[in-house]
Amino acid sequence: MRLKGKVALVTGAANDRSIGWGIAKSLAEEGADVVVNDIAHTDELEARANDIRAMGCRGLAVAADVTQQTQVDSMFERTVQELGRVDIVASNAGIIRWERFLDITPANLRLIVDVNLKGNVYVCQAAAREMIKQGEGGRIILTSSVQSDVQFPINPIYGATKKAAHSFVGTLALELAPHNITVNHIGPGWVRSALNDPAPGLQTPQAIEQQRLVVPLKRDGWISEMGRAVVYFASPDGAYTTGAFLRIDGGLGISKYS
Amino acid sequence: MIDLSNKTILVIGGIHDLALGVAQTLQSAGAEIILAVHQDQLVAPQLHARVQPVTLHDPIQLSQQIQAMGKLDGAILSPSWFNFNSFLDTTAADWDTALAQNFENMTYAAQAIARHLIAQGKGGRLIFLSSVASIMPLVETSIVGTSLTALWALAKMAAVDLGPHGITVNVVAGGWIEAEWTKPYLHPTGRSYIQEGIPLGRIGIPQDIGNLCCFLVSDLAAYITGAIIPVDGGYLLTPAEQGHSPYPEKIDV
Repeated sequence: MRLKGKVALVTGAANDRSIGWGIAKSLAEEGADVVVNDIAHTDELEARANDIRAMGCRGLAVAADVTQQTQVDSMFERTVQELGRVDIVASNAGIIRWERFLDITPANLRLIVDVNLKGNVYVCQAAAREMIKQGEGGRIILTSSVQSDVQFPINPIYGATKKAAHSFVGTLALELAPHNITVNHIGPGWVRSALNDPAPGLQTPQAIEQQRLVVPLKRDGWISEMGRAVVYFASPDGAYTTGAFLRIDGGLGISKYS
Repeated sequence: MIDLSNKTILVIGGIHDLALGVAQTLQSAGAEIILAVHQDQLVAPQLHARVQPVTLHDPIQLSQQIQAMGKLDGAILSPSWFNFNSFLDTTAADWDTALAQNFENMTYAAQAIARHLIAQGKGGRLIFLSSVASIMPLVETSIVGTSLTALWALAKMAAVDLGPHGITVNVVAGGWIEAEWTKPYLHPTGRSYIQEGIPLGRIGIPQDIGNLCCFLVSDLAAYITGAIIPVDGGYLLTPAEQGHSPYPEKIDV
């Protein structure tokens, strides 16, 4: 129970197959009180808060759209009102669309930039301001992707936003270090989350088997494994780690060959 | 000397000191230059070039405007947001503008130019102007770094998709360059402060970036794609120093 007494907020955590829920659950397993946020799957959001409560922690469901700065700010106000503070923020909400470079549509470009880049900006800014006000430091962890290291075809805008996350995290780590706020990001590889269900390369059992063989460790990643990595960054073990990127991808990002 | 006669190169996006310097360098090497200027940009560049108004934020119109340009051999895509700000002071409006100018509009332009080059059937060159902040996170560059890192990733993926069409895509990452956005830091004391951290001992000039662009648009660079090349006098190589804040005091100019 390394996070007893800490308050965490996780965006994009409503769906029970999502990385966000893997993070929220792992944080609660270490004793943290957890705010679960989402704008999609909001019908499941209260169930996730109940799951947190069933684990003996305080749980709070807040529906908010991370692309709307006012909604993000209100979410943090409500977190502080109801749970007293915020120590750990996992800015995890993200979106993906599969289009080749020549086929990118303006609507999808705008949507992915809004959620994956501006969403992180608003969440991290609100988080940092609250943590600075509290004066006891804090932990910010972004979910990027193995694509922060290596690029794959068919989702150039998604990949661009995830690579950009590395630069963003680095600059924030530098600027927030004087406030003892660490900023890091995790890079999931292939996780069989709801987000990835529509992936064009994963539509048949044969294709899924093929994908499995591409990963050096020969399997998909589990949402609990993403959550445990966030616990590392959020716990005392991670106190001296900032501006770091942890790929959790079974080796997918090491090389072209497995 | 690289000879770019018979090459027509489009310079599109932010038409600032850096882009104009690059255009001039390409022109000195013999290239014909088309300057694609945003309609509300009233600059009258000191350059003998075709000036073509474009609507960067409107992909459909932009596509038509680029098709109407005729023969093209390549393009220099020029982001225009290079301001320094601390993350806590950045506004939603700053992010909207910067991501539009440095990433979204550059993506639309690259896509429209690529389609035009494919239709011409002779391959071509796309070169994104960028900053070393896209390679290494730096203080007060959350916006510049994030938007230009996104552009670097996009360039790599576009290089994959456009390779079969003989189109190469590369990124040129400038360090400290004489330009509008560095001027407030380049007063005499600021200049010597910055130069201490640059192994080659001077601030770069737009022509330094232009020289690499000449090589990249030339036939000599036919096998280079998806690369990012810093042109920074070694700035990225030097470590942080104790008591040395990253930037000198900014003075209004």
